[in-house]
Amino acid sequence: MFSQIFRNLCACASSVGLIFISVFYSTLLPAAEDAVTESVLNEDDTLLSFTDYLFPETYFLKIDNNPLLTFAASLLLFAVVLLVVYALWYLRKPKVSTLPGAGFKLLNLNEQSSFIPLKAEVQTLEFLTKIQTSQKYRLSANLNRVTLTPHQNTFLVEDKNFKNALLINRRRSHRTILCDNDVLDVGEMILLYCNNDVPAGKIQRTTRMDYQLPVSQVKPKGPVQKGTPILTPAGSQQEILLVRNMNTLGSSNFNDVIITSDEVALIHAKIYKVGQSWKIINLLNHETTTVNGRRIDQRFLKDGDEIAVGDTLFKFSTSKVQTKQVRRLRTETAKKETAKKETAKKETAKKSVKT
Amino acid sequence: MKSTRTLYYSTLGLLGGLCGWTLMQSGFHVFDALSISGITGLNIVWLNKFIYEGALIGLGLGMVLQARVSLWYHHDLVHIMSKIFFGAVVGSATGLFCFGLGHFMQIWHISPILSRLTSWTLLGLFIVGTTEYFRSHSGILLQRIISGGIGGFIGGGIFELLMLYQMSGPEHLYGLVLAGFSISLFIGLYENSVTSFALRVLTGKQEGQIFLLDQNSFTLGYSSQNDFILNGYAEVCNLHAHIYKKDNQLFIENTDADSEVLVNYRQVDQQAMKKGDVIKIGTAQLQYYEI
Repeated sequence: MFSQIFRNLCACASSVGLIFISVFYSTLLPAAEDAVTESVLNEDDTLLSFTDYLFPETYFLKIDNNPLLTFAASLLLFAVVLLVVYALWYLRKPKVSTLPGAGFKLLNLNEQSSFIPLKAEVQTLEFLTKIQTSQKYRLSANLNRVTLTPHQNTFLVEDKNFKNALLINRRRSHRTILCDNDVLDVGEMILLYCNNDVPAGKIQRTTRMDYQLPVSQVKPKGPVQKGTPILTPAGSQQEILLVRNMNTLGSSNFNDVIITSDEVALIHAKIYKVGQSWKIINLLNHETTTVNGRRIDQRFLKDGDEIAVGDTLFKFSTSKVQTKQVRRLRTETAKKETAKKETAKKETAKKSVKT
Repeated sequence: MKSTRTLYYSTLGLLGGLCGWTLMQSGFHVFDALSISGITGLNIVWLNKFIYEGALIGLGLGMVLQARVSLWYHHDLVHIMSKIFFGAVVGSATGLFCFGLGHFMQIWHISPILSRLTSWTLLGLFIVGTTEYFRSHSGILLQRIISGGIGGFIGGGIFELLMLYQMSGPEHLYGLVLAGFSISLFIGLYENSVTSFALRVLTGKQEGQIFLLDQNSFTLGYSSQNDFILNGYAEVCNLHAHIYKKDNQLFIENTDADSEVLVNYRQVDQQAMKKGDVIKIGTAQLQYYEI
């Protein structure tokens, strides 16, 4: 903004200077006029008389006493010209395409932005050979071994033949989940993956292990008792049973629940049994464990609580028969506790009044 | 794309000429009214002596030429208005200067044709020169200014020919419009011959926009002072990247230490670009190609 103001000030200053020059001109110009008229009178100067014969005016535009347009008409025409300039500006507005569903866009130079929609089914990349293009592109012969599998809202690309010249985001990879705006190089073809259902940045793709479920557990031996707590990772149907009375959570292999993530410490949190209820405790001060979105140090767990260990979300639940008992117990203890607290408060208030 | 741009520029030049003509028409009436209302001497005779038409032609052309790049890249409207104002002021001053000089040349008994041609050529040179001067951070291109001068010369020639055959229309309308057209056409043709690289925006709000690289160096970023403005995206900083030509190769350089420029998804400080490279600036994805 400042530079624009500065610019305009510069312009004004320079124009003022030039206007001074022009004032200087205005004294000189009548002299020029006189010189011209004198030369016209002087018949010896053949060149000037010849040019004056061609152009009766001495210089540039000599205006008639009656201009063609009236004042209003000329202003109207000026407005129309500005409107046309505005229209030219508006025409240059970039058109943002809104495409339904997932698909590929050809990025090669001479293609007329053709959109290739994808069906939500398991398919191979062989359909690329059937697309009509303005120019023939060399593609690898083994495209039937590259599969696209629907995965949540997007697709999973698996290259089963490593000889394919398939690059995703200019890197060779064998199995990747596609995100919005990914660039695929298939031979000479450059494809842009578009998916408006999944906005960019929603899927966080870090390592190759990501599309395997990040959580694994120690498998229980023998039948599982009723009332054992269940952890379900968000976005999947997997159920993790906490078999023991004391379960550790973390990224190390020695834990009962192993969470492979960069955000999770080696031994991060612990879920253990206290009487009839379960309690979670955060083991490291600099790591975060939250319950229902609130960062906690230790807390009793209810049925349906949402636990986040690092960046991984879980839902905590127990079997129905047990939960009722646990809930009743929890509520009773809670009431007792609140009653105790109130009495304690009253006592402290009385004390303060006395003092 | 290049030829479309040339057409666009020349259309703008045509409109600039028309703009100057309409302003002239309204100016006559204004000055007539002033002379009637009591200020004696302010009439058409005075106008004829004062080269006021030159100033208005310069105004129309300057307006359009200054804002041509912003119009082509669909910049912010406020920004364009400021550029148009700037172009109008500077253009009118240069027009006054050039046509005054042409008139002044008659003291030395130079033929009116020659003096008119020189004033047109000077107008082309100065108008393009001023528009170049205020984009000087990417280097002033002398060739482009000269191409403007050539355009002015040819426009002046057309003007003279039309006058010769008495076809220049009411108050020299066709001559003026064609002269403006030829100035901007020649600039467009010169830029056309220089352009051989381009950047295309692949995603987001500015999808499909093509940045034609017709200078030796460019700046890319969020703020309106850049040559290429990316303002529909997150994580693009004010002056994000610098693109420059060296040995007929284009290099991209990261100018902001806190932000990243990715070429083919790898972070770079300074790198030559190849055909088909994907450049990522903030969340914007650009593709580089040679025309």
